[in-house]
Amino acid sequence: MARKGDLQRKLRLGYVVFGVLMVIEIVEYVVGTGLRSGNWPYLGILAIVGAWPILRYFMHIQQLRKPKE
Amino acid sequence: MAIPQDRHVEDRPAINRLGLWLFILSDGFLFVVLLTTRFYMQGVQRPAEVNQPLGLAISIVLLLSSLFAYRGETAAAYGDVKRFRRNILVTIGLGALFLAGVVIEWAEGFHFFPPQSTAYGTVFFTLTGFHAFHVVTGLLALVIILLPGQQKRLQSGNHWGVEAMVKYWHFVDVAWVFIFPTLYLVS
Amino acid sequence: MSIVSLGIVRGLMSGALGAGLATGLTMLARSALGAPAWDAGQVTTIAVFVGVFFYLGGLGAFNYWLRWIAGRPDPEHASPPRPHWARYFSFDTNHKTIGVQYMVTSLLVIIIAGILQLIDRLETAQPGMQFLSTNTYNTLMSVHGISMLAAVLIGIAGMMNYVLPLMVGAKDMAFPRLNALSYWIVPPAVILLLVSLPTGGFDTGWTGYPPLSVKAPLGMQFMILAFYIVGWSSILGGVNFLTTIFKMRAPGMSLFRMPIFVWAVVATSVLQIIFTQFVGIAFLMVLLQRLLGLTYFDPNTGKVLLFQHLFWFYSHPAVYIFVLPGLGVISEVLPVFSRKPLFGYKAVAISSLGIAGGGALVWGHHMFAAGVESWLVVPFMFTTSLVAVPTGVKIFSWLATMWMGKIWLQTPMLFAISAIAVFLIGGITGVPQGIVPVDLYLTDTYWIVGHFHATLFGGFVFPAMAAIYFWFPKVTGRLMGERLGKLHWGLMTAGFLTTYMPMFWLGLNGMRRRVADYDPAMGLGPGNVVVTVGGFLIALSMLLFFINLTVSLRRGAPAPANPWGAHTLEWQVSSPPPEENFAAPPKVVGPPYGYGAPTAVHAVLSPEDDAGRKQG
Repeated sequence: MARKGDLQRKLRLGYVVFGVLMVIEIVEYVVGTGLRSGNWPYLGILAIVGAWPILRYFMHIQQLRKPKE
Repeated sequence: MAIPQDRHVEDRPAINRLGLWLFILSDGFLFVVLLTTRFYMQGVQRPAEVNQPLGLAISIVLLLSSLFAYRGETAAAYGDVKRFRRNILVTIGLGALFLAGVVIEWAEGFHFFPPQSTAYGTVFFTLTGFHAFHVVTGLLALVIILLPGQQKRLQSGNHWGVEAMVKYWHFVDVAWVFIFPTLYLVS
Repeated sequence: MSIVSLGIVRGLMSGALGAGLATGLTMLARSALGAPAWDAGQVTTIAVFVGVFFYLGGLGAFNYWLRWIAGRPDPEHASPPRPHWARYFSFDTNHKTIGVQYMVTSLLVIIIAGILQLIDRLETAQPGMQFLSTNTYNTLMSVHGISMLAAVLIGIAGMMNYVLPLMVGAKDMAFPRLNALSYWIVPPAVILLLVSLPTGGFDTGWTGYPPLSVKAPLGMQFMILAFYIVGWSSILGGVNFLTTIFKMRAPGMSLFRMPIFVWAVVATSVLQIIFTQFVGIAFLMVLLQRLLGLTYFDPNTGKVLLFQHLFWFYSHPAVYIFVLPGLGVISEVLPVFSRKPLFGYKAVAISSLGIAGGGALVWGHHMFAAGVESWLVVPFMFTTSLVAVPTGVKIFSWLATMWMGKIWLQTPMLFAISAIAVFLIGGITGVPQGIVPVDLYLTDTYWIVGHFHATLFGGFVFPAMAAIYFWFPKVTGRLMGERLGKLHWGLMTAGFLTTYMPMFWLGLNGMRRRVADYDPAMGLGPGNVVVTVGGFLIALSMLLFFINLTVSLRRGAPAPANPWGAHTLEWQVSSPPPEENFAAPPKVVGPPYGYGAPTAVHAVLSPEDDAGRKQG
């Protein structure tokens, strides 16, 4: 069983990731409502940028290559 | 005859994980098809009545639920069962709140862009419908890992069930990250 | 034992109960909402989904998961081995049982679908309408097409299930219970396909293009549900195979020591898990438009071509799903019976992935005549021609493997050679269709029918027969009748040529596909008679095959562990293999096809496995 300090560190990481996701989401919203036309390339990039932290930090996609951690 | 001892070395967690990821990949293509359909049928057109603030609100709710799901899973990995239960309960609550938001959206949608007569309505209801189906199954999965039978397994250090269900929940979130701009924002 | 304790009987009873309950509840709900209680489409769709769910419950498919949810422990292989026939009718998790179940189901579906088309062939042998109505003709033809495709999907799953875990030295698949589930959702799909016949049938052909499929009778809907269910079986199977291959190989089996069949399964499975979703959604859209009135394919608000894009985005790669395992079988059989290593092993291994990757980018060539955007046409012409390259790699490798070999003409080898020739016919007649101007002339003629039957005979039917003759001793512990087998091979090859060669001529001379009648003045009558005679020749050869199968099963000579002197792992264990394949993982020490070198070894078995083989 790992140490308690590790758990606290990981829980804090969760907040950081969520904060980043929130920023991306708000920027997306501003771009989507502010730019009346031709906004889809920016939105596409933002969606990919937003999906990555979830895949990496919440779903741990890296475990597929490195089984531990 | 005595049953020979099983000497096949299996890395069960790694096997399960790969299987789950492949399933998620396949399920992800379901949403790829539907998103492509939206652009193929409608280009980037969007009726003005789409409720963008509500869309943003339920997106934030779903992202927040993912945060709590992450906290729950991490706690489970460290054997902190109490914290795990608390966080997953919040996740389920937020998931239900998200569904409530979708219901409001649907009620408005039936009025402004009915699926039977507009292309946007058709893609809107299909996408949100399939996504809501995933949310419902995800909620069921989260309820299952809170059942009393699961706690014994958690205390013995096996949290694969939690990991799997939470991964699925995050996947539902990832799908929404793409659906939200596609339906609510592009123009 | 009583018949009711069989899983399938309990499953079917429970399924009927579930469907009945769902029908009642849906009708109640509808009348409560103020709608008329009976709506054939909506009520039957819900009944089908609920019925399948209940059927699986009655079968015992969910027992493990329910125990897991309750937190009770459960061993990996819960079912006690019941070494007689009953296990084949129950929810059994052993991959060898499941492989046999799949294969037998596939053969049954092939019989049914074959008979349907024979009826149609009798009708088209002469111009004019003889004994069928045009609607019946269309329905029989459509059910024949979709059932045969289901049979192929089931058949490749059978081959892969039985052989793959043995080949990679695993004791079972990665997820045995999921594997059993993927098989057991197939029988309801087969039943649904048959139900589509008395419920009005459907006249769209197997492709089910809207808007015709939106307006077709109720039978269409059962076909959609059946195909959707088979699709999920295919997806779950693909997940299982890939996980097994990547995580459960025996020590020492590096990627380039895997038999080619395993490579073929990799390519097939990738295609299955990605592309099946496309056709699944396409058919679901048709279903939603039929049931709820959504407007995907409505010409005013939707796009009719959307369906064709989604459909062919799956259905072209699906051709490679169908044929890649068969091509893998050819690559297994040829080195054994030529006593030479497979020529260009690495190139053949990679070419499977090349075919899979290239095949994903050619779907538009099915739509040249459908009015797609003109800028799409030429790129698809190029990609289509490109797919011929990795396929050519395989053909040349096979020829080079046989070249100067000590060829041993047993039945599996004969079928493999026929498969190469027939697949070549299918491939070469496909290239002209990839060229736009030629395709505009050939599209929807018998040329197309001849072409894709040649690819499926060369890529699935002949290899599957080779596979059955090849692995039958392993599966049953008995040798298959060699004389009857050779007769079967001769008749089937002759029957194939008689049926499909005239089709190319007929197509070039204007014979349309999917028509019950044609103008007698076109002079196509004699050609059509030959085609019909050929069809019955194939049926006769299949009859011989089934006789051979049953007789060999009961009275065949006992088979040694390795009757063909093959090197791959499945031949190193006893025939039939022990319940858990290997007591301990074998060690893979060399390439799989070291034929001709007297000291070449692919794998070394653990001492107890080796002892077991010498006994059995």
